[in-house]
Amino acid sequence: MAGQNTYRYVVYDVLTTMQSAFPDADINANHILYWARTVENLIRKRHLNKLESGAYLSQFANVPVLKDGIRHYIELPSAIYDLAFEKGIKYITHQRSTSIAFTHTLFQPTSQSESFRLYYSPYEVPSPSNPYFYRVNSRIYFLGVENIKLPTVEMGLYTAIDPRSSQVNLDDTINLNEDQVAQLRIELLNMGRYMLMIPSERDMEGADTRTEGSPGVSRSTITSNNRNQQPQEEQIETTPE
Amino acid sequence: MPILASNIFSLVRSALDAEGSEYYTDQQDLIPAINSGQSFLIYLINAQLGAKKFAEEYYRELIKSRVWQSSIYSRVDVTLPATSPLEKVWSILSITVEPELNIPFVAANVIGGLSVERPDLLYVKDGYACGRLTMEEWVENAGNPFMEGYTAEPNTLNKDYAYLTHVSYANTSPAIPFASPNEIEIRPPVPSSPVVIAFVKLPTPVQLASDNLDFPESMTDLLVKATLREIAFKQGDRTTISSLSTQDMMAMLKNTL
Repeated sequence: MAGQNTYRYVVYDVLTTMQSAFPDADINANHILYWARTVENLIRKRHLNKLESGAYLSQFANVPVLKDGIRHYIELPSAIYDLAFEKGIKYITHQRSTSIAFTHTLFQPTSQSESFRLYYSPYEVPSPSNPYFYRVNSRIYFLGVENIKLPTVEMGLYTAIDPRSSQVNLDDTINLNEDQVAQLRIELLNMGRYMLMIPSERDMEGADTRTEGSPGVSRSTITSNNRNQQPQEEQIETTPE
Repeated sequence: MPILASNIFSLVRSALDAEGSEYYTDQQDLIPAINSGQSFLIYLINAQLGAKKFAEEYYRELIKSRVWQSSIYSRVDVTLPATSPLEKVWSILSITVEPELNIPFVAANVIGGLSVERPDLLYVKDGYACGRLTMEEWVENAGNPFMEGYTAEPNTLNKDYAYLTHVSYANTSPAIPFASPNEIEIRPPVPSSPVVIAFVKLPTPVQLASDNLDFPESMTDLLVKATLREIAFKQGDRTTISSLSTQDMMAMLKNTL
């Protein structure tokens, strides 16, 4: 929740505008709501690529740590944006002792293929005080914490929003900063305009029903480059006997 | 303001060349003629209703809003109203579910779980409008989250209701007990719930000269011409009344419909 604007305002603003321009368009609030949610994700990710602010950060405390053999891992509690260098995961921390700050031990991002190198550097070797994580689909694996008890971790994630219109109430606030709502509106109108402005002559129409004077579906002929080289058909001259 | 039948009769009599002769009587001539004229207008307006060009304000005397309790299958039979005098549904204008009523709704216990009209309830405000679907749309839309009548996610936060027009679900083999012969179905389902239906009622036939016609006063002359046209049938061909009344009526209908 970044602003105060609700989906009701944006959805019905766009719907009313479209209905006034295209009265026969079979389009409803659920449709626009779905568009709004998908475009929201786009704007949010674009914003995060430029500016990593805390506005879109979601905090998950006490995410349970699971074990796969000796490897510790967690399941991502929510879908996140796939940003460069795992920046969709803003931070993962674990609390080594109740006496220290919860942000004390941060996990560093790495990848499975690059992690072996860390073990050869005394300054980078994974350990409980210098742990790492890497992502495999929805799982986040940890390095350096294999030999300690790690029941939970805390995470800060740039979460993607669920675009399904069935899962959001029209009176929920839009997950954008207020200044981005105007951009959302423009994107929605563009989407609607693109869909509804498909020229009528592109409509599926049987060739036999094409009326005189209507442009109809343009049918550009495909001409072979070799056509001119092909021998001309001989004209058969018929002479009356 | 409805039209008094006797008012039409006096206007019809003045156009007929039989003053003081008692040649045309109410029971034998005028009442059957006015009812035939009314039926003729109903037939013409039917096309208007089908084309969704119905001018609500023009036929305000015929528009009613009543509350029904849906059946356990989320269906409503509007052919058996409980109100008196009987209000036969001519055409449905809107169906609203989850309405705010004058008193809290308590489902009545109906044998077989059938729908029933609830004259004890009044529609106050709000609710969700139901879109009207064709039989094909009814089936196709069930899985389309962007269309009315979507039901694949029953717990959706944004319900978009739809209704399917009159269908008989009654059958003989296997017989469905208590099935009504003519039901509207609403989806997502609203079983045994209040359903507000705004409809155009069929005009009540005139039985006495003191009865009212359920048309607005502005249609008085149209009804006079329609009645005269019916009476002219008795007068044989080539009467002035027949041609003039038909001509006038058609000119008025052209502007009305």
